Amino acid sequence: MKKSQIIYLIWISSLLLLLNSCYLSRYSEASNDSIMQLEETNLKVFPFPFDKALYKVKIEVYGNDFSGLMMIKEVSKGYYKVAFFNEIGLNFFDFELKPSNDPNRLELDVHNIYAPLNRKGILKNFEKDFSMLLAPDLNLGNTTVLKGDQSQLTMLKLDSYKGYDCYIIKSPKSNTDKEIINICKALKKKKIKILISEDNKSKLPKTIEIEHMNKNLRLSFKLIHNINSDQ
Amino acid sequence: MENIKRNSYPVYFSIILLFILCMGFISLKAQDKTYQPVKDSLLVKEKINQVSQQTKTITSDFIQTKRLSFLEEDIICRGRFYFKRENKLRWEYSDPFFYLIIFNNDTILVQDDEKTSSFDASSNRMFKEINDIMLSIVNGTILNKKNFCFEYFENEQYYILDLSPHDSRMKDFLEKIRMFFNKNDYSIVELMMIERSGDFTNIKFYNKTLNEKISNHIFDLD
Repeated sequence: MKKSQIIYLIWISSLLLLLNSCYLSRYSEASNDSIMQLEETNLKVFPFPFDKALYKVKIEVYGNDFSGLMMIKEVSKGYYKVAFFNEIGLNFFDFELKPSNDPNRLELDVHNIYAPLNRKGILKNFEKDFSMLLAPDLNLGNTTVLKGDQSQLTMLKLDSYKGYDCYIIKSPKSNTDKEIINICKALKKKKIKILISEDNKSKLPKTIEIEHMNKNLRLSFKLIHNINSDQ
Repeated sequence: MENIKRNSYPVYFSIILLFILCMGFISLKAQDKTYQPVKDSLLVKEKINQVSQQTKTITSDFIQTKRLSFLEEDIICRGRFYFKRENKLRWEYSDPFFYLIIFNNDTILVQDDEKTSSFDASSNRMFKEINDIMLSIVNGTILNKKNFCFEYFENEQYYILDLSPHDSRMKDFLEKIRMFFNKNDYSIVELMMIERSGDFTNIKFYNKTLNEKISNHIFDLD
């Protein structure tokens, strides 16, 4: 490789890093008035409390696709059970999420898992995704509320066990109701992006799109309304 | 299914084994009351085989119940099922979601409300196993397979056939298949896929018609 090409690559990489790093700089600390208006329930992805939700889910992980149904159930305050199985009914995994001592973290305890998904890295990512979605520490008292350049954007920045978790409401750019970003503390770089649209009737998330930056991992959720579970 | 608590695996495995043994004992005890072992299982096998061989097509509605013991929940789906001898199957889920899966010889076609995909059954082990099992259940050839252990039971209404796979890889996702056959016509009325975790999927067939003409287009995805 020529010297000019190396310089060019370094320059492009630095520019990309700079652009990524600027994510939080678009926000400034909000006034007390906005904090008063901002309620925890507005930021919560799932209504509090909620019983259960059934989703059509697709998981793309390292080149493999897994599609099926996922049931998420709150068994008691802060404790959740999640089961994912294919359309014919065979299980991919079921696990429990329970409170932990780390900030904004639910600890994942696997009950059963299909061998190709049973990798430490994948499970760590699932744990992070569900911790962000179910947000055990989403408490306005311990967090920083930021207001974007565009007045519609309000962000709650939360110190998490892995970087910062930023909860954003009414993002006009993404055309979704809520957005959650996980940012690496050192590089201020976006690591996980979650886009959520809300179902007006049930107040449950209608769609959830989870994207892991620079990783071949993506999860898509679509709410199934008609749950015949009690027949 | 594979448990990921590796450090406590031997202990955990022993507990599971004891649990399975206990459950096996309890379920056999329970079966004693309602289901008796079939005295002449070869005759039943022959009859089921005979009816299967005469069945060229099946069209039926189905109700699928997924039992999630971990969550103490049942999830019920409904749809329509088509079979055409030798190797064509169409499962069409319509409620509470749309999902279509077609097994056409060695090709699997899948469609949901977003996209359609087709792939070779051999490219995905789980789908290949499901494909083989589903087709052999419907066309009756499963009774002659050597990779299962067979047990026959009966009550007033049904013959019940329990199939336990010998293959440990298959046991990863299927502990047992339980099939219910109508005693009057030896046709399959119910199917259960029981997993190692205790979860099961139960499929009940109703509004069934046999040997009516089904167009090959039913098994295509356009």
